[in-house]
Formats: sequence, structure tokens, C-alpha cells
Amino acid sequence: MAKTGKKGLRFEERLADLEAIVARLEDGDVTLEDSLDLFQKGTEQIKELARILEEAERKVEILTRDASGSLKVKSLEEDRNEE
Amino acid sequence: MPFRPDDGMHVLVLGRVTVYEKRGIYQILVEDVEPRGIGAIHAALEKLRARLEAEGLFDPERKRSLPRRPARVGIVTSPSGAAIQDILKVFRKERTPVHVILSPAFVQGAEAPRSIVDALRDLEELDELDLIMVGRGGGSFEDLLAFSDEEVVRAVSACRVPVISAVGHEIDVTLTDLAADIRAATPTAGAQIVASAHALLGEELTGIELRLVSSIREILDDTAGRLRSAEGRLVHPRHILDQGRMRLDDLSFRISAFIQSGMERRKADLDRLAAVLASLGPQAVLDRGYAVVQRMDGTVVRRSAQVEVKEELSVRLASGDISVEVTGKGKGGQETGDRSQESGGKA
Repeated sequence: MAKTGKKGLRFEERLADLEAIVARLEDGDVTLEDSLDLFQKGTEQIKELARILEEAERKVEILTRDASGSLKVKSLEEDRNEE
Repeated sequence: MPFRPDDGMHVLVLGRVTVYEKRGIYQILVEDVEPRGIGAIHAALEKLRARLEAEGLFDPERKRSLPRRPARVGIVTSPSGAAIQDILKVFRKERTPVHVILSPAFVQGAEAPRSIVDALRDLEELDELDLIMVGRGGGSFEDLLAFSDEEVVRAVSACRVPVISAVGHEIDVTLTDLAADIRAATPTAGAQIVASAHALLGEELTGIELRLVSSIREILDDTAGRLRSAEGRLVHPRHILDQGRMRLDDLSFRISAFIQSGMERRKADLDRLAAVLASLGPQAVLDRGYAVVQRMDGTVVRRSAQVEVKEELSVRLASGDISVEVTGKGKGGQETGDRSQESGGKA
């Protein structure tokens, strides 16, 4: 789950990178080669971000303490109170 | 809740009553004092609020903004309360791809403040949490008091993860609401804030993609335009070759035509010359009936003075020749008369 969280962090960084790329392209003050590189990078970034968004799933867990007092996370049955 | 009594306040005290017999005075040795009645609680809350505000706990500058992608959301509330169900209902309905971690807490009663603080700290121990929601469903004024507890408010304010408060109904405002980064009126509203962050993200990504595509298209169109313009000005080597070849063909055609016409003209000249030559030649003259007279040594006789009487001469005719003898000479042997005689002879 730390991995998922890391993805979340990376997501914001990637999004910021992506926005910087688009801003540079929109600025127009880049060579054709650079702009094609930027476009390529941007497209890959978008694909990756969209993939992260699509693959993220809804999950519900509950935090508990075991006998030794250390924290544990276990799945929580979600649909016990369906509308 | 720390409490400092003020004039006119109703309080409940616990202590021992003693009597100073010498002077007939009753004393109460107070061990504990707490406000009595709603008005007193309001007053205590207002004092706490003012103190925490003075400390800067509610400063707008301290508030962090909602993460753009609240993927992992911790929730401090009761596992059996309405709040968690309301929150999960929203996430289900909006299909929000959120990872919820419920940190159970008592949300009312004497244990509630400590329980809420512990649940919050437990969540803070987790890595990579994007957001924490603290709250409970609606209840009485007293039911919500735990969320105005100083320890709870301080824990929310100091939390290293952004906090959404989602306590009670819309009209209820607790000190936790003031200390949180974002205040949601209800747990449902809090969940909707999280859900819309996710929805917005999808739209943002689409917007960025559109911007990316349109900017590269603009660059490519511009480049293509420049390329076309350059292409128009650029002459292909083959074109130059073709031009040269055509020019060469043209020249060689003109040269051969020139040569051709020159040859024809010269041929015509030659024919004419040949005709002239032919007309000047002796044969043509002989053909017309003239004859060439020669002495025996071969000299052509042009003047009568050249010959003697009785001299034998040879006469060449158009066809064959004959020998004759001079029988007499006429006048006119002078040089000056030569031409007239000759032309006379011709005629």
C-alpha cells in the first residue's frame, strides 16, 4: 500500500512535470526537434497518469492494534449498509 | 477542558465545607470546579477559541490546500456511526478510486477527545497518506463537544497531513472546523470534496492533453508552412538538368538546322557556279557554232596579224577539228582592235 501511496506522490510530481512540458510547448520558443521530444514526453506522461488513474481502485480498510500494540490494517466490509 | 471561572458564572464545585467556629464563618476548600449549564460551556468554548486564535492556530495562512489527488484518505470517526457510511456511500456513487483507511475513535463521551487524538496519531504513523478526514454525524451540542476539545484541536492543527473536518450538520461549528485545513459541513460534503478532486483530475488531464496536442499541431503547421515556402524556392537538381538538356537539344537542333541550311545554300551556289562555269566553258561556245582557231604550235589565233598567208591552221569545232589554209588576211590586226574584233567575231 505504501507503493500505491508513492504512486500518489509521484502522480503530483508527474502532473507538475507535464504542466511544465505543455507550458514550454505553448511558449513556442523551442526548436522543432525539442518540441517533438517534449510532445513525446508529454504524451507518455499523460498515458502513465491516465493509467494510474484508471488502475486505482476503491478500497476500504480499518486500522487496528494487535495484542502487541502494533498497528495493522485490515479490509473492512463495505457494503453492509447498501442504499 | 481547562476552565477559569468568571464573575456571575454558575459552577459545580467539589470540596470540603469547614466552619471557623471562633468567628462563625463557613469555608469551602474547593478540589474541583466545572461550569454548570450550556451557557457556561459556551463561555468556556469562546474563551478557548479566543486563546487558540491568539496563538494563530486558525490563521488562514496555515491552511494547506487539498491534494490534487487524494488517493489515500484516512478517516477518524466511529466505525459504527453514520458518518463512515455517508462517506463510503458518496465514494461508491461517484466511483471515486480512493483508498480509505478508517481509524476508529469514540466520537462522543468522556473518552472521545483522547480517542480522537490517538486515532489521528495512528494515521500519522502511516506512510504516504494524502488526506485525513475527521468527523462524525450530527448530534446534540454536547455530543459534538469532543471536536472542540483543546487536545483534539491542537492535534488537528499539528497534523502533518492536510485535514478535512466533517462534523455534524451544517450549522454546527466546532473548534476542529476552525483548525482544519478544509471545513466540510457534513461527512457527506467532505466525501464529495474528495470525490470531486478525483473527477477534476480526469478533466485536468484531458485538458492538458488537448493543450499538448494543439500546441504541437501549431508548431508543426508553422514548420510545414515554412517548409513549403522553402520548397517553393528550392530548385530540384533534376529540374536544372532537365533545363540544361532542353537547352542543349534546342541548341543542337538549331546548329544542325543551321548546318543543313548552309549546306543547301552552298549546294545551290555550287550548282549555279557550275552552270556559270559551264556557260563560260569552250564547249558551250563551240556548241553554239563558234570555233577555235589554232596555229600548229597550239596558240589560239585571236588577231589576223598572228597568221601568215598560206599558213596551215587547225580549226576546232564543237565536234572534231579540221585543217585549213590561210588564203588572205583582212584588215584590223591592231591591239586596240582586238576586243572589238573578238566581240564582233562572237556576234
